[in-house]
Amino acid sequence: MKTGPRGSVSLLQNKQNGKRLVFRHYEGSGEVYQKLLPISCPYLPQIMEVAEENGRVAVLEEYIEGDSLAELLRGARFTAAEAREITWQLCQALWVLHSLGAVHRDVKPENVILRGRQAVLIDFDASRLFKGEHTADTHILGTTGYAAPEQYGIAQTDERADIYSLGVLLNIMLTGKHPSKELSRGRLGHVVQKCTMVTPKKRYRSVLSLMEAL
Amino acid sequence: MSKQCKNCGAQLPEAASFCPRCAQSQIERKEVKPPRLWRKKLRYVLLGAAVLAAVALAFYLPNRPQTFEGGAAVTYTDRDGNYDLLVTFFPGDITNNRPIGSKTVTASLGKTEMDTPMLGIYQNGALADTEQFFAKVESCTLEAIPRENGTLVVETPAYNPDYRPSARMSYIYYTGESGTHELRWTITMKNGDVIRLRQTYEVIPLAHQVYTPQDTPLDTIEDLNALLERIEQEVPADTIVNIYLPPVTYQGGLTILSRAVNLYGGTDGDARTTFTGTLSIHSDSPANVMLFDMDFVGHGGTGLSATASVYMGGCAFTGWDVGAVALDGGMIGVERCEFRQNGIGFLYRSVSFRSFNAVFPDCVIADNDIGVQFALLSGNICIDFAGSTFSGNRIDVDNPINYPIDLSGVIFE
Repeated sequence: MKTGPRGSVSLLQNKQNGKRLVFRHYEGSGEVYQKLLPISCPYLPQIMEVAEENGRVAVLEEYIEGDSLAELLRGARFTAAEAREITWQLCQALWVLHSLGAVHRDVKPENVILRGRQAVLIDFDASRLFKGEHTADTHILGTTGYAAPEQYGIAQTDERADIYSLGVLLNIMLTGKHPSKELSRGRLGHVVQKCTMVTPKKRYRSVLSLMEAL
Repeated sequence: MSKQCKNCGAQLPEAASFCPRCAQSQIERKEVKPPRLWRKKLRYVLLGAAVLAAVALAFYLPNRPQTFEGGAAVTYTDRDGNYDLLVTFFPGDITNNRPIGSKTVTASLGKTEMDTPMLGIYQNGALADTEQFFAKVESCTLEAIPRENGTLVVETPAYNPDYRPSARMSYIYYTGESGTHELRWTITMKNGDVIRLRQTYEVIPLAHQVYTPQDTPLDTIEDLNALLERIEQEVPADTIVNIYLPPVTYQGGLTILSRAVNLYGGTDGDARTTFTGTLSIHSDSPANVMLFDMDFVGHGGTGLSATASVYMGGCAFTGWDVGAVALDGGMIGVERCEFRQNGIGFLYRSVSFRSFNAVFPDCVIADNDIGVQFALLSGNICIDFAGSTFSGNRIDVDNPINYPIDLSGVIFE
């Protein structure tokens, strides 16, 4: 499905029952996948198996059948109600991650699959467990435009980095543009504005606060 | 170590989470959901509760029961407006809107006296419709709270038309031992409001000085005048003086000035203490002059003339132009007295007085030209003649001023 400098993603199919699975193979840490292994959440893929050796990680996960948000956003916008519903569901997915002590760090349209009316957040390759005592992230990870300023080494990232990315995603669903270019109007515009404050302290404190605001 | 797939039975490593053969998960998964967003709901609930509380307060605060504390006067406000309540001891003070917060009286030790604290109500500067006000009243009480030892008996306040314009009045009974009390009026309204008024009532015990024929010369009018002069000089003004007279006839008049004395007539067979001259009482003492069991026998003129408060019992007036007259400033209370063969038996000619006697009981008014005449008398407290007998008078009661009197209990022969 995808090959990059850090690893690859393949689609596998069971010969006996035809069930499709995603196989990830990359360099890095599999700690977040390990944490997700016993978890069930409609807005996250089920992790089937995780193996880790010498800095290389192999993950088998549920294949989410549907279109990515990136594909759907090509030439189309979402209504405020649709954008709000998708953001709400992604908040639930992020809440699961954050409650495990993890930060996704790569929330973007390509990592959101719409399975019917359900938004599923995928790809935890960039995810890390949040370590409060660290002053800055070791590696610069994430996607330009969606990544919060602190992900560029300014400070240790925490759940508020995902809130930043989600704010950008919400704005793009509504306007097709980054909030720095065109901020959505209305109440959701205020939500985007608060999500994307440069100072993490000025953002929503948690996805629960963001859900309340939504 | 190995285990079997839960689904297809394939052999799997012990730590396997997944069966590659049938692609089924081998672990129990826990569904995880964010907690309910109670904070926002709680905010709405709290906001709703705050709004409800504000509405309740807005309704309750203006209508909550309040206590209106006052001394002898207080202003009470309800939905009908302002009421000015005052307490006094005399209807005239209510008429003049003059609250009386304290009163000092004297009383002999062991002798019961009475007083009448009363309540008046004004609205918009005029006497209020008391019944309309009391339709809103749950209870009206009067308590006597002693400052030191002593007892003062209080009756429950009630409406008494004789004490108009008072809205409620009470009788209180005291003796020289009563001491000082706070009279506390408590009016509880049906809406829960409480109105309190206070008066201080001080009873000063009186000392007594007694003179009897055994220890003092009292046989002539000169003896009596000399004694009164000595008492004036020697006996403190607040001492009660009781003079017990022998059963002799005093020729000539007697005047009691400045201070109160009590005269007790004596009896020996048919002989009684008798005065043939006018007894003039012009004491400026707040205490009553008491006269008991004496005869006043005249040939014209006036038997008893008083500009002070006098009380007499068992006295008889015969042969006078006027038997007894209460002149301005004076009031004569009578009980068991006789007025016979006088021009006027008893004459009211007073508009201001310190005390008032509303009864005229058990008297005989006989063979006078006019039995009782009301020439002048202020106020409207009804005088009750119950138990008295009128007979042989040309006019029993002459009442040109239409003073309120009750003759329902009178015997007319």
